[in-house]
Amino acid sequence: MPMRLSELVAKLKPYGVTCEEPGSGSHWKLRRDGYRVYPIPAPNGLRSEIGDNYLRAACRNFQIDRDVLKS
Amino acid sequence: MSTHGEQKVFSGWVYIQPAEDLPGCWVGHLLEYNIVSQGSSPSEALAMVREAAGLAFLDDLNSGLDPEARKAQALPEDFEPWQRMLRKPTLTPVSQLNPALHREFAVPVSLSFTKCVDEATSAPAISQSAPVAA
Repeated sequence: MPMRLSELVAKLKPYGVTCEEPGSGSHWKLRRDGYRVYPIPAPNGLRSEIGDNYLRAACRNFQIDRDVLKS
Repeated sequence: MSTHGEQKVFSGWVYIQPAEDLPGCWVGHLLEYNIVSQGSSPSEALAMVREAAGLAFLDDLNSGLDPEARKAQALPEDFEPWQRMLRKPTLTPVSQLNPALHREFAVPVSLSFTKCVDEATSAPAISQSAPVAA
C-alpha cells in the first residue's frame, strides 16, 4: 500500500532520518547520519504518494526493515 | 564511471514499470545505484530518476564520497526483469516510451559532473553537466 510523504517522514523520524526540502526540483532529500543521501519524489510536497517500490529501495539505502517501518 | 579531465560520468540502466500499488504511476529504478523514483508516465519516471540520481551523486561528490560505492546496494534480483527484457528487446526511441504499446522499458542513462569554482566563495565545487541523451 502506498503512503503519503507526510506519513513516511513521521515513520522515518525515530530512525534519525530527516527530510530536507530543496529550493527547486521535484525531489526532497532524506538524510541519516552515516548513510548516503536518498532523494524522495515529492512533486506534491507532503501530500505526495510514495509507492512500495520506492520504499523498498529507500529502506535498503538506510538499512531499515521495511516490514517494521510499514507496521 | 569514467573520468575525462575534471569530468566524471556515471552510467547505468533505468528499468521502468507500472507501480504495483499506485494506479497510473510508473516507477523507474536506476539498477546499478539503487536509485528509485516515480512519475505519471514512463517518460516522466525516467526524468525523475535522472533528477534523483543527479541529486544523490552531487551530494556524494560535494561531500567527498564516491557515488560508485552506491553500487554495493544493488541486488542481483533487481536485474532479473532487465535481463529478461534484453533477451528479446523491442527497440524504440527514448522519446517514444509509449505505455499503450509496452508495459516495461529499459533505458541506458549517463550523468556527468564537472569540477568548478564557486564564484561566491572561490571554493572548489562540483556541478552537474547537461544531461546526456540516452
